[in-house]
Amino acid sequence: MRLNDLLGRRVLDAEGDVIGNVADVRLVQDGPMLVSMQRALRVDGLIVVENRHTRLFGYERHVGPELLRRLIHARLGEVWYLPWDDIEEITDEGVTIAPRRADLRPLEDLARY
Amino acid sequence: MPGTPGESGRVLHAQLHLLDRQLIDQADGHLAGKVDDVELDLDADPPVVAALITGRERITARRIVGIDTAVTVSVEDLDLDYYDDWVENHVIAKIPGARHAAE
Amino acid sequence: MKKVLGVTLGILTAIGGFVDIGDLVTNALVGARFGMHMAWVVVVGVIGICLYAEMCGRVVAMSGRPVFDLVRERLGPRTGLLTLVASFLVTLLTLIAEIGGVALALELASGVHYLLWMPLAAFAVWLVIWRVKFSRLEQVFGLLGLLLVVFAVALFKLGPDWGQLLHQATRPHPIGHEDWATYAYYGIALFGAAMTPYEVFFFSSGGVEEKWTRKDLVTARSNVFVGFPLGGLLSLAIMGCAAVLFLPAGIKVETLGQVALPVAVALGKLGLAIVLIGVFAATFGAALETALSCGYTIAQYRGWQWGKFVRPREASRFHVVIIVCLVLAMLTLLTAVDPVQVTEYSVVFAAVALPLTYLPILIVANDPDYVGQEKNGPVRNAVGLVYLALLTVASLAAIPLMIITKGGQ
Repeated sequence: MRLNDLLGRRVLDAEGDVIGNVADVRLVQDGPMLVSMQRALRVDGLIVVENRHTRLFGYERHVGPELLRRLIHARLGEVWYLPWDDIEEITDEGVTIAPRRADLRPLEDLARY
Repeated sequence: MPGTPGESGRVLHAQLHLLDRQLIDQADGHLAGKVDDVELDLDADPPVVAALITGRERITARRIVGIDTAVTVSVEDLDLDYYDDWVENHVIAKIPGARHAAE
Repeated sequence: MKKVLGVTLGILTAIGGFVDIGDLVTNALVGARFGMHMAWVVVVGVIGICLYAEMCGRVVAMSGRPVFDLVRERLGPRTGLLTLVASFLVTLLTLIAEIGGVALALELASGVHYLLWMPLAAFAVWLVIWRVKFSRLEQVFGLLGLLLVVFAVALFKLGPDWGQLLHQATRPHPIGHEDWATYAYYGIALFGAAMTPYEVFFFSSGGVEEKWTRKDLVTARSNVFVGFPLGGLLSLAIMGCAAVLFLPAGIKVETLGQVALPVAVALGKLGLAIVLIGVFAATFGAALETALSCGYTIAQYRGWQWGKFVRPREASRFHVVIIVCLVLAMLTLLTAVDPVQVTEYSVVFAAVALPLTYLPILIVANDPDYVGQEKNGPVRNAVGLVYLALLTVASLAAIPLMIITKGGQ
């Protein structure tokens, strides 16, 4: 699947309610060894934002002027991190996930690498 | 960048760190296009980044040498310079002095 | 010692390279219409360009990534493309104005009509880009541009009432029959002239051309923080000359000859000769910078090989863009548009295009992935945000004001 097709796709919870859109894909470099002596980039999960907006400008990582970050986050609404195991299926309709909205984990809780 | 290339457990974001980044040819350091898209293999176990897409070329993940403020790739037999070569052969090479460094 | 020499050379180049056709025309025009009542805009503009050029210089020295690489990387292909189109068109418009300026300077020196000089000027610009090393072209025209210091000498020689000039400068409002709309319109033009987007494209790409590393941060900063403000003083001297000579007489500046006239009045033939060489060098240098910037923006957005640090054939698309832009500039000038009017519009459109160019710079100058420990501090961020707000207001107001004031009539 192409990243550009996945970004901006709707995210639906188990009851079929739209909770937001895919904003980014979190990768961890600990997959299988590649020929280039590097480890593959494993897809670890999705970053989901409440409001329709796909560019985070890197602001999920808490860089940049405080005021600008707040302005951007105000437009994004909630920002969640969705571990890969919580995803039920990805179709053209959207990404269906197992947890309910209230159980989602805010991206804020994740360590800032 | 977070960690050195090849380091295990480094966290990246596909859109932030890969999409629209500059590609650099490992062999000569030349600029070789932008990452226009990223191909994910979601059926693999675990799901992984399968390739980077630039223009009409597909660069498989095994060719990625390093991910920094630009993405260095091992181009080998890929023809990333197709259009640049076309322009070079049809226009630029015909102008005197095109082969020499400026003075 | 060698380092001191390098830094000094860099500063001198930055001063001479700061003034271009936009600064020459806009400062003289504003001086003639508003006296020094708008001098504060130059100060605000110079602080702004220093702030953002320093960020670009730092990002380039630490990461090797020039501005338009970042624009695409942070804004994405869609907003990035919008920024590219706007910035490219403004830069092309500026290139047209600069080449017109070179030709006009040659006309003033020779008496031969500028349209005859114009193809020669465009060809010379191309030849220099094609064959001359980056550092050399930057230095030669930067140093020759320093001759514009003659405007400051002329201002002293004209013996103005300094108290009155200062009095004007501390009262930022329109005078005579001018209204607030025209005042704001020319304020934006002056702001756009000082902060022209190609300056940061050229500055940051130049950092890559000269292979800046962390060690070159001192050079980059001294160029910006010493060179640019002194260049700004030159702008103020141009404005001052017009304020002293034209404002009391009620003369409007409409030609490049009028811009240079105060120097001739104050210093005679020798002054005129010096100012014409200075204007030629400044516009020719800026024509090189804008032509290169046309290539830089498109190539960096698309990820093509660019730059003069490789042989022309290795960056073929970059060189083709430059050639096409120079041909377009020539064709536009052949329609006999007035280069001075093109200049007036180019600085206003520059103001329109600025916010989207500067946003990614501000973001990346805060990103440790790019700049490591050299992140923006809270003061730089606060001032950076104030300027971003200012640029946004100027950008949104520019076109409506252009319509209301009928282009400043």
